[in-house]
Amino acid sequence: MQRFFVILKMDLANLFKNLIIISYNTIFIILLIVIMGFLFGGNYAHIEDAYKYFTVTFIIYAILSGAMTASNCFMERDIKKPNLRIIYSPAGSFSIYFSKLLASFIFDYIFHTIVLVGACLFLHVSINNLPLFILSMAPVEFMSVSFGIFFCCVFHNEEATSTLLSTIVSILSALGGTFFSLDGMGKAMAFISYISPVKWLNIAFFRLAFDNNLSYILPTFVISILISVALIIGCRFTFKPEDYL
Amino acid sequence: MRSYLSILKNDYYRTIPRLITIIVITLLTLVSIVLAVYITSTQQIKSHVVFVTDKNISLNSFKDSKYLDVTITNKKPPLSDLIRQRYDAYISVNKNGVYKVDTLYSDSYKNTILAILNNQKVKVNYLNQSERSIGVNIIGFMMMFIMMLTFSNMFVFADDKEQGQLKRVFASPASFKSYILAHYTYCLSMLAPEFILLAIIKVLGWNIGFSLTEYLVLMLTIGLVSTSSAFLLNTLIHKPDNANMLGNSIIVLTSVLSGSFYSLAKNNTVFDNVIKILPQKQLMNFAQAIQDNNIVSNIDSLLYVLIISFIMFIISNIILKSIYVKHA
Repeated sequence: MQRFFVILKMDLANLFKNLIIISYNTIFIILLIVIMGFLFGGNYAHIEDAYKYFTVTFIIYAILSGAMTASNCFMERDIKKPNLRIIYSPAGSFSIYFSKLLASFIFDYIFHTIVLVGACLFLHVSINNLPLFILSMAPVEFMSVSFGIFFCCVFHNEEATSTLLSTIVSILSALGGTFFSLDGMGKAMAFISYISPVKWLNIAFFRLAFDNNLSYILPTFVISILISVALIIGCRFTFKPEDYL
Repeated sequence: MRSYLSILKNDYYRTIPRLITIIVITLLTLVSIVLAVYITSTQQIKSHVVFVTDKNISLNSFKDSKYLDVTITNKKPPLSDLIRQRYDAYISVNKNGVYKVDTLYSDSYKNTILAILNNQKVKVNYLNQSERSIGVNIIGFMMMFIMMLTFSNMFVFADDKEQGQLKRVFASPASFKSYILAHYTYCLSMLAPEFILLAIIKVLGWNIGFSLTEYLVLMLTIGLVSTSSAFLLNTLIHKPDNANMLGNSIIVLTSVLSGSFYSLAKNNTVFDNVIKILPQKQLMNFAQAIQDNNIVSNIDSLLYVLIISFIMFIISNIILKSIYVKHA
């Protein structure tokens, strides 16, 4: 266990030293919220309502993009060599991918919470029950990080993984109403929109944030955890240390 | 010429392990095209309102209204449905028969709804209306994905740089010009699947707005600007994955800002002028010009994008030379 923490600590330190990953998880998201809120604010009586919409959708977008943090943390070339050494050490291969997974999770979760709290404070986004909202982010965050690690195990290549994942996340988010709501665009569009899992995540978090309604968030909780476990088991079978050679 | 061909060939060999990714991304582009076609063909965009009432009153008067899509319930839907724009307004009526409209939108919207309810003939300004044709929508929707794809295809250069091959290229008799030209050709040629997709859709008889030549020009320009920006970012940043991440976020931000998904009508001149700097905005302008048959007077938009790409290309060249060519 102590060995695992040594690796975890290094992985975390690596992430926190990477300015680009930090800004990807903070400044980028803040800019998106502020710019989109500003652009669409004109339609609203109070601009805060526009910020409310985009804070929730872009926080979810950020959480799902967390998969890229994970793939970056796992497959970066500078990290591949140390990983190879860990394989030969008594620590074992499980601690390689699980520590990357946990490190990316902690890292993303901290920054997304900061962004969310910042939005609540400075953009006057009032969310009922903020602590519960932040707590509900955790399993989704864990799931997206697991996706990143799992895809890395399958494709053995960081760039391919992050290109694929970022395209999938962007498409599903566009469908799910992250950039603009598709509900107002006719029945067919609204229906297509419901195919995207991002839509369901959005609904769950909107209900939680503005109605205190838990009926959607509880299944989200359970499903995210189940998917995460399945993906971690998948990693166990697909992770091959030989790929590093 | 020989080194150009051999580098190009080598680039294609390096693509083979990434084939699955390319297939998936091509499929996703297809999704975005279908999405664009659907959004445009949804003809009338109505306001979604909910009429909250206990009584069984008939709403025939505006049940088949041109402007409203009315849902009748006896329980008020949650506030979050307004925030996430599932519905645009909740209407209730009190004992005296006065309508009350709950909406998050501005007063002018509220007054329009009230006017419709009182059976007045009014002209409605839609909140969600886009006046763009299919062609503009397809280009707008594809743009972000094409740019991300092209950006990541510059891995051929980024890998060479990171792993030190570039040093050898500079030291070898192979000309750097043909080396980088081969990479550019490779990146642009990787847009072929998307283009073929469009051609197939066209042959199958769907309306895709523009002609294939127009699509080719637009797609090549998009490809060029994102290849150049990938070239520049990968020159400036040592780690390819970091460059990729930064590039992706810049692409998402600028695409959204230039209204590629959505025509943003914000009457704010300062803001509009700032946005004009973005190549994507100029490309959207040009696409709009094609739609309006107004190409000649808007050709400067296209030129602007080409010049921006060229400038980024030159800057990266200068930086690379200063890193790798040591003058004694």
